[in-house]
Amino acid sequence: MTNITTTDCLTFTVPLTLDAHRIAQSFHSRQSNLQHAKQVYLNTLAVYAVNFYLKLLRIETDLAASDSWNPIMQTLANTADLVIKNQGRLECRPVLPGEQLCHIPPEVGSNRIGYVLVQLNQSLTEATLLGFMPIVAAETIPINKLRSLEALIEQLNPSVQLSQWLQNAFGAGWEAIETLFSPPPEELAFAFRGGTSLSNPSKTPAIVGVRRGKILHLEKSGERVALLVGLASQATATIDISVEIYPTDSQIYLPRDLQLMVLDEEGEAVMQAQARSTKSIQLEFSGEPGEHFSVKVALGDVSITELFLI
Amino acid sequence: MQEVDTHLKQLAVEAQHHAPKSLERQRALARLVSAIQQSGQLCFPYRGQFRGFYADIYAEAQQRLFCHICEKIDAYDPKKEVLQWANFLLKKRFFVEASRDIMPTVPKGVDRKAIKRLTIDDLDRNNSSQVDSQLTPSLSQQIIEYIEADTEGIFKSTYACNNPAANFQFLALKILAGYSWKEISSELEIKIPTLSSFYQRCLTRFASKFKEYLS
Repeated sequence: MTNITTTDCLTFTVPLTLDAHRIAQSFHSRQSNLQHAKQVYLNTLAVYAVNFYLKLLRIETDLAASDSWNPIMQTLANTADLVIKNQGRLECRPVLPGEQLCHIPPEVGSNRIGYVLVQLNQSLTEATLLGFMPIVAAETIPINKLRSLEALIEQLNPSVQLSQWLQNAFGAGWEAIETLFSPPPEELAFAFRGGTSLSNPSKTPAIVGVRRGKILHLEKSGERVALLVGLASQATATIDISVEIYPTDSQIYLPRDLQLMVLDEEGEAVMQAQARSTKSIQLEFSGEPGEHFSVKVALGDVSITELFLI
Repeated sequence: MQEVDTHLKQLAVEAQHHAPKSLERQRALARLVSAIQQSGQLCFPYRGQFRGFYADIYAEAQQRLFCHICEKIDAYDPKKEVLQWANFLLKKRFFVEASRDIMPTVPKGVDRKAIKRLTIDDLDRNNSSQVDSQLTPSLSQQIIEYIEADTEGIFKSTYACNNPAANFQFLALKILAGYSWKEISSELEIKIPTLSSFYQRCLTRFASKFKEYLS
């Protein structure tokens, strides 16, 4: 990762176009209570701005499914939610010039992914995304307590939840081994046999095991490798985890100098290995439910990181 | 100046190194667009022209520029400075395109003159929005009538804390009339969080009924 320190002032100002005002106006005109109509207008601009920002970063949203975009819900509640696909609702609260606190209305659900505060200027020509708050315990959020937008981006890139794998629920992109390779490379076939301790019922009946894989595209280099993650849960709380990497496209060896790293919650590498003339790399460790780790695959200055929650 | 260029270039190249939609690319792009804005060095093309429309055109052009930078970051050539690339696109392409879409001489389906940008002061003034609601009953008026009528009797019979007085109909009409949660809470002697989460559940439950009635 880079050592550039811009996170402290990471904000973004969305220019509010005529189109933004056209939408806000169309919602506003359906309200008869002046105070409430104003709130609807401001909420619309705040949600519009956050939606624009997330679109830039290619985080998928669903305005049509959001209460804030539904005139009936706008009427019945002071709502400024934005649905994030497959994740839930993000609350986008407008902050007026001079305000140091943002009030969260009681009717805003407690089920929010988090809260983004959006500073509007007096003439409503621009909306600045100030920062993010993952949970709110109080009715108000002080602006100076906000976390950076980087925390928002991380929050919207949720970890792979390994505990769900044990219930046979796999997120998009994580395929069965047979789907990834046909035929499987020699090394992998061996690992399958060797790795059957994951599902060897004769010795330790309490063991439940699962292994899934994903193809990683290392941008620019054009290389593709397969990342496999296996887990075996025993009767104890500890879960054994294996992280493996294999070549794809009928290659025998991994790309030279490819690195595989396991990082702890702070992003520190706790295990790593590098390919020379290597057919596969395997790292094994164990962890407890609730712990986070990430796996980083790097080739030259290109890297891919996957986050996991045990 | 040079420091800014180096910094922006570093971020753009960093973004290029990661797959679209990856956390690393999102993080690099977020820093890049933020740093471009904070440099204060985006140009203002054709300043002094397009009187009365300049702000609208510029806002539209900027939006298109940031979309392009994020979407087409792979097209950025690190031999150039990021601001050089961005300003070239802003001036030669997006400002021109936006001006064509916004200037009223070109009919474009939407009548741009009909759109009025409201400011906070406009919103505080009484007369800004009332035009429409005098012609047709406002949506809030229709919703109030529907809740009052309660044809199926469900709004009144759904209540919180075993207290029939704390029913959805009562609650919704109070809220639509502009009462605060604090006032409603002290009237019913029920805590705000209890009332508000009951209200949220009701909205989820009745959402489809409202939609059906009002469509």
